[in-house]
Amino acid sequence: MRSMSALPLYISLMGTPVIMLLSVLSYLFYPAANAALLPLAAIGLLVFGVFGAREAYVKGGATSGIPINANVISQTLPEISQKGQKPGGKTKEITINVTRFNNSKAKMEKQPYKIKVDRFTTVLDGILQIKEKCDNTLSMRYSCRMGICGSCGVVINGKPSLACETNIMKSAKDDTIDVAPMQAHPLLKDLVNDFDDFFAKHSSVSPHLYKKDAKAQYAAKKEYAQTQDEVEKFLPYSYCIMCGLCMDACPVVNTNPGFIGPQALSQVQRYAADSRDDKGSKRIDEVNSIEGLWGCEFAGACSKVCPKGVDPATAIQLLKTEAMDRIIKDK
Amino acid sequence: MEKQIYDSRGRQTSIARLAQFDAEAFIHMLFYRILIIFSILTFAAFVYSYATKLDFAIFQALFLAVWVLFTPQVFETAKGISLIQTRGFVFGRLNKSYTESAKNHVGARLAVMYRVIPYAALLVWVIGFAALLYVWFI
Repeated sequence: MRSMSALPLYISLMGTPVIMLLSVLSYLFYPAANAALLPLAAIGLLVFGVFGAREAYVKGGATSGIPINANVISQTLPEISQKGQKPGGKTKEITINVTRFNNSKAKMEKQPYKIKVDRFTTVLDGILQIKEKCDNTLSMRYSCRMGICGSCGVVINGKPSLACETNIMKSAKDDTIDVAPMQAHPLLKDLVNDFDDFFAKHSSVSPHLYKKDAKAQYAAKKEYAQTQDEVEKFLPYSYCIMCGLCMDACPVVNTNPGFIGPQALSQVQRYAADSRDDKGSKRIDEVNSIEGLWGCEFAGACSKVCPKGVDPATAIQLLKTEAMDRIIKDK
Repeated sequence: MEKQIYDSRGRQTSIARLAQFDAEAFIHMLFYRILIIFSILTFAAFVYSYATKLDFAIFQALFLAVWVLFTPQVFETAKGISLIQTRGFVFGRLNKSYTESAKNHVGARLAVMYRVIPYAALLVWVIGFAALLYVWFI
């Protein structure tokens, strides 16, 4: 049974066509009255249509089946305006040393910027503040600001990190923080790296599920159920956001650009371990080379900097074991 | 228009970057690079000493250096075995929400055992070094 609190909504919904019908009829039979009826219709629409509908949505929405969240309105206006506006404590002046590439000298140079920060300020906030207030020529890459897109990867105090997930006050040493571009990716400008090579390596391992049957691949009529154990085999490796931090931390990628790198190899493990994938061991064969999985020297730095806990080092060691098993079985 | 990029990859000095955030990896990589040179020299010293039947002192000194340089590799290899056997639950850096929810946790006893393996291997390696010193020089 519908609640009576939604009555203004029904009145407004039904009132509008009734007033319109009256307007048409009065125009046909008594045109002079229409001049008086039109302002009345406008007032009726305003009263029932706007205020009535709002009232119905706010008070009767939940009981009348209209999907709205009435809790939002339960807060007073000052409360809403204060939400998220809590002061971050004392502000502090911090120096951000941004490493930029000097084209004329063909070398990297540190450029210091002084900015004011509070305890909530992230490195990304700091860089954006520099761009807005100090130097609009500074280039950086960012998008989501919450560690999901993986766009703002930089080197902070020597460690590859996401700028949006690094707190300035916690990371600063003597009120100074160093921000530099990643070195294992070619540099385009300032803090912006070129990811062409990174994505080429990523796509070279066919990072998608492969089915032998084309119908199953492109027009599956049933879902492919998996047990919990089957999911657990590949789940952590599917968290990759392709930020490229693991590649920057990897000493082998830094010294040998031909090495495929931890990101692509972790994706090989992600799909090779997936019970829905039909390519299986062929994936391992494709990277079973010195530039592939055997290029890894197991430094483990890739896993240390991964912001999502993908743990590429474990993925690569598991791939090595699989590759060895295959060699032994073949013999 | 062709992209203008600056590529700083391909330099062995980049290994030094690790020192700022992962000392263990830095030692591992640095020792491994030096080890390559020392193992070639040791082999050459061995061949020379064997062929000339002269003093083995150079070979012995180089061999001890190789033994020391190989220490991080022994530790990391043992660590890798623990890592593989537990699928990253021991010594791995897997996503915390995953490790909390994953059913196939390694049993507590096994986890302790796998944690001890690299240190046990290291201990055996150090004892081996001491034994070598004793046999050759004392």
